[in-house]
Amino acid sequence: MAEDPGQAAAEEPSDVGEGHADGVPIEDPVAAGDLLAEVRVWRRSARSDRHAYWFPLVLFGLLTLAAVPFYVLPQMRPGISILAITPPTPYMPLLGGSPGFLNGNYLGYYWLVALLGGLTLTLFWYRLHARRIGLATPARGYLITSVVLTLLALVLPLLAQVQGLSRLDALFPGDLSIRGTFPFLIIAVGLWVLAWAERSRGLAVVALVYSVTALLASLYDIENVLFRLGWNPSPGQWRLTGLPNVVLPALVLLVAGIAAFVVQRRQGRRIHQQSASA
Amino acid sequence: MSAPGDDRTLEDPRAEQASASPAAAARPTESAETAPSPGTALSAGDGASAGVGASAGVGASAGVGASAGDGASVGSAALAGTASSAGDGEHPTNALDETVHQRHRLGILTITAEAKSADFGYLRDALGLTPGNLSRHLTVLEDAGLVQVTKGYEGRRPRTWVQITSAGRSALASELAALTELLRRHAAPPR
Repeated sequence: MAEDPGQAAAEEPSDVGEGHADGVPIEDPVAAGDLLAEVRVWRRSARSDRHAYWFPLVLFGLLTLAAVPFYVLPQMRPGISILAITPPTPYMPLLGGSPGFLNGNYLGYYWLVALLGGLTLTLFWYRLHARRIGLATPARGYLITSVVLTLLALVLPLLAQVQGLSRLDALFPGDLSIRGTFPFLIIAVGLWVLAWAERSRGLAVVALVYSVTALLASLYDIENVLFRLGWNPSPGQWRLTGLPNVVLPALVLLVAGIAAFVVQRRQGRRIHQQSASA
Repeated sequence: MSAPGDDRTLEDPRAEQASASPAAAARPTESAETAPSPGTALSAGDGASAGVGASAGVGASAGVGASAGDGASVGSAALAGTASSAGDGEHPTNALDETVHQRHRLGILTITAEAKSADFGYLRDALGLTPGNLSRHLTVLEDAGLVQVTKGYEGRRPRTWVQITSAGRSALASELAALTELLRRHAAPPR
């Protein structure tokens, strides 16, 4: 591959000045139509080559599934309050949920590491993809948005404990964080930003579905649906009743990520065949 | 940056068009101070800037285009001129900019507008150009301030990345709008 354009330019004949002699007379509507059609092919081809969002979808789907053990509810013992067997004050209520609801306080630490680690891996993925394909996605906005939200989720509850700043509580209503699913909302916002950066309607649809699922998981006990469908958990299974709120959003990401991987590969091949034949 | 081997005197294509096309001939005449008269040849040492200057001759910024040596400012002036003429309800071909209208340069702008930056090799393959010709088109666009070319290394491998500028995005949008308008007018029934 001749990567030094200056050297290459000195060695070859020029077609720079061919302008209208290039078959694109500016007064000819047919030629203008052909040119616009060609622009559409170039645009579709470039978008198809650039799309690489299957990776963050699969990655955060797997990270959500890996969090499942933290969502197992504590073992209930007769006569002992649930608050007595869980830490009294959550250190990270937004990232780790409310005390007495989840098994210990490690969920907050897990999500802090998982979100920042996942974002770093995603950034590396887009850089690798840009090197391999030759088209770079502006993923910095996605990274900055997600990191800022994660850090705010870490810092705001701490600041709200400072005297005079308790009004900050209003910024994170307990309903959204009690189940430890607030990180899903951070992922959802990140997906919207990524859909804009990727200029992908497909990813926008995924972001919409995931946002609805994340809100549902944050505001509603999804196991109730399973109860209505006939699930009757044994006493030992009660500890698992919080898991549908985690598994459903994870499945949305994994299914969408795998589907995006397959579609992007097929689309890329098809558009390149069209482009080559054109 | 100049395009080697591209030094020459360019006839003003708009001037030719003005005499050939009734639509173009119907346009209001530019003032003698700013617009080159039909048949005027713009002589330039740099083929790239000459092309831009020629297209700038359509709009009110022709004087700037003819006198400026800086490709970026010429490109901007050309854009300003084309934008104002397009908004006046004149023929859409007035809004076409020679720098952008050329098929391969339009391709470069289209592809780079879709990404943060595009690799030289990607553009070459996508547009089916030889490295030399791609390089010359990039020089024209870079001189007009429509793209930014960054050379560097990844490991030992040299890489050249091309990034569209905001002026490039505006020029691309104007070009596509003008082409779409041209098609629309052609498709519309005669009144």
